[in-house]
Amino acid sequence: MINAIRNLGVRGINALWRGGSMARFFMLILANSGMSFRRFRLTIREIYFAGVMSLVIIMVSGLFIGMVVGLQGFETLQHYGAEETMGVLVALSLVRELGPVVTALLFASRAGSAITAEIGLMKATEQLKAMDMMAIDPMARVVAPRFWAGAISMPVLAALFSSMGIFGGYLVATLLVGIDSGVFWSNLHAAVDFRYDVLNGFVKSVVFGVAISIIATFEGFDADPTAEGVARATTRTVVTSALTVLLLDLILTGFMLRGD
Amino acid sequence: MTAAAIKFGEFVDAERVGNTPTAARHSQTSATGSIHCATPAETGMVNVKMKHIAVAHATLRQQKPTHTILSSTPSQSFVEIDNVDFSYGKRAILKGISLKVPKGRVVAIMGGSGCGKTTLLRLIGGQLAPSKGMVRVDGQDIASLDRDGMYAMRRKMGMLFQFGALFTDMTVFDNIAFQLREHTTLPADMIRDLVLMKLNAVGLRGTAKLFPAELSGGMARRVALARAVALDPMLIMYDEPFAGLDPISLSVVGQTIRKLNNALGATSIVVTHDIVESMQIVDYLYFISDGRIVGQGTPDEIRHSEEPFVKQFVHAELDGPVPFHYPAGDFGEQLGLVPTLPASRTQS
Ligand SMILES: Nc1ncnc2c1ncn2[C@@H]1O[C@H](COP(=O)(O)OP(=O)(O)OP(=O)(O)O)[C@@H](O)[C@H]1O
Ligand SMILES: [Mg+2]
Repeated sequence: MINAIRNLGVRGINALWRGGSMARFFMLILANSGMSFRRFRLTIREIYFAGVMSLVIIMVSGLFIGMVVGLQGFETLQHYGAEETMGVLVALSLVRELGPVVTALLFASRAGSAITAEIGLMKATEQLKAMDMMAIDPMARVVAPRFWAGAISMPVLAALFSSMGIFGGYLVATLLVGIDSGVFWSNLHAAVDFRYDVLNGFVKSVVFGVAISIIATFEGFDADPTAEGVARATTRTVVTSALTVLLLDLILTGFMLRGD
Repeated sequence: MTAAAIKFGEFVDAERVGNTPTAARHSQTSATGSIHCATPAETGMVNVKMKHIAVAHATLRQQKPTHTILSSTPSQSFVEIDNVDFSYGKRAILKGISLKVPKGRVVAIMGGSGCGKTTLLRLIGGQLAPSKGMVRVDGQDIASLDRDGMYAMRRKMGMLFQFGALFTDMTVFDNIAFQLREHTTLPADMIRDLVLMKLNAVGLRGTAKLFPAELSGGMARRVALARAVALDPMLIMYDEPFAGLDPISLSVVGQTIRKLNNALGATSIVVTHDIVESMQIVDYLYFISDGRIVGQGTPDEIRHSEEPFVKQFVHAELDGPVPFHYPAGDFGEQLGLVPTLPASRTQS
């Protein structure tokens, strides 16, 4: 029993310590970000690897999830004879919640893990040390561009995810259920508020993108320089990112709800 | 030809400014080059090209930070290690090492596996800090440098890592061009010429477009060597340059190390096990064992040394002061072969 408590304590302190290191790491990234923008091509390259390569999985997932939400919504809404507001249901759940959250989870496992593995492997094979020896700071040349690429890609991907989802819902509504397309769109238009829904969703996706990028780059940079260490770091990126995103979502949603 | 002529004109001035040994040497080369060339047109082209490269070299040397204040003090040694201790955690690796690497010389550091040679190079490069003593490079105490000072210092150094450490996401060409692109503003065609020259020196010009994963171990090592000298450093450190090379490339690499050192007017430190090859190319050798310098001398002195350690190393004798084993308990005991507990063994 004592042991269990002690264990918990140790884990708690470790987690806190890690959190602190990550915060410091984030500051270091910001301090070393000059090159990422002065030579924006470095960042563009990473955006290609992190963002563009995630396009297919994000868009396909968005389409399917939109269709599923549409079908489920139709099931429930038709009991109340409100199936015409299906578009609203699909759009709101996507823009407010599913878009940012599911995109973040997919992004963490697709791009986040790749970033960790790449940086970790560069560390294990002494590439980072070699770069440092060449008087080029790996923080500025390797880490910061990847961080910014993640932070920039995430909101764009979330927006694409939501758009594809709404399109999926639209397909279900018009082709399967037989709702008039004009009705679908006008209901959707009337119900979705730009500031309250779209902007808040956007804020979420930005926060998630920053969080995932910090975690992914930190875990890679901090990995034990061995094959096993890199593997463990990659797993940690996915797990930590998922938990962090869900926790942040809870907190952000709490702040954003109007309560009317 | 007019375009070339204009280019030529541009470079004359630049060359006069870039009055460095490198530039001078290259204009010499171009002079001899023109003797062998057949047609006057060709001669012109070659000349232009050589001038072009000479300017690139000159620019390189000029762009090196002249930041160092102390470097003008007439210190004979480029690298000076003074009574340095270093330990990883509690394990003492280096115990009071002192050595000097004179300017312009090639010095070998030899010693058994795990005796701390790589660690020593890390100390010189400032990637590790000694727990006692001082490491001085070009007259400056490495430990006292701040980040900018350290980076300025490292731009004068080239290091061949023991395991190559090539950037796996770039082609061979980009690997070697990396520092040129990061640290200079040379135009792309000059960088191209410089990179191809470095690659040619290690016999791998044909691999420019390959990725490191497509190279053999020995080829990767030679590419890493070319990368280490990409910026024409003043101090070149080679960590096991001969490992994994066939006899021909081994001898070529050895010659290259020597020639590069002379051509660049650089100072070189070669960490190696290969006594035969290093005796041929270096000016001085240090032997490390158990964290201390146990022998030193010119190749001639080493050949005739009566120092037991040096003798063992030079003649590759199995018996002698060099421990082959990493410190460990008694092996027989570990295997349970020690006949102290025969009773308990028969019981189980
Ligand atoms: N990062 C590290 N942490 C702890 N110990 C280390 C570390 N790196 C090296 N060592 C230890 O320091 C000692 C010296 O290592 P070093 O790499 O300098 O040896 P070396 O002389 O280069 O050997 P080799 O010829 O095999 O490359 C070794 O015994 C090794 O166990
Ligand atoms: Mg070594």
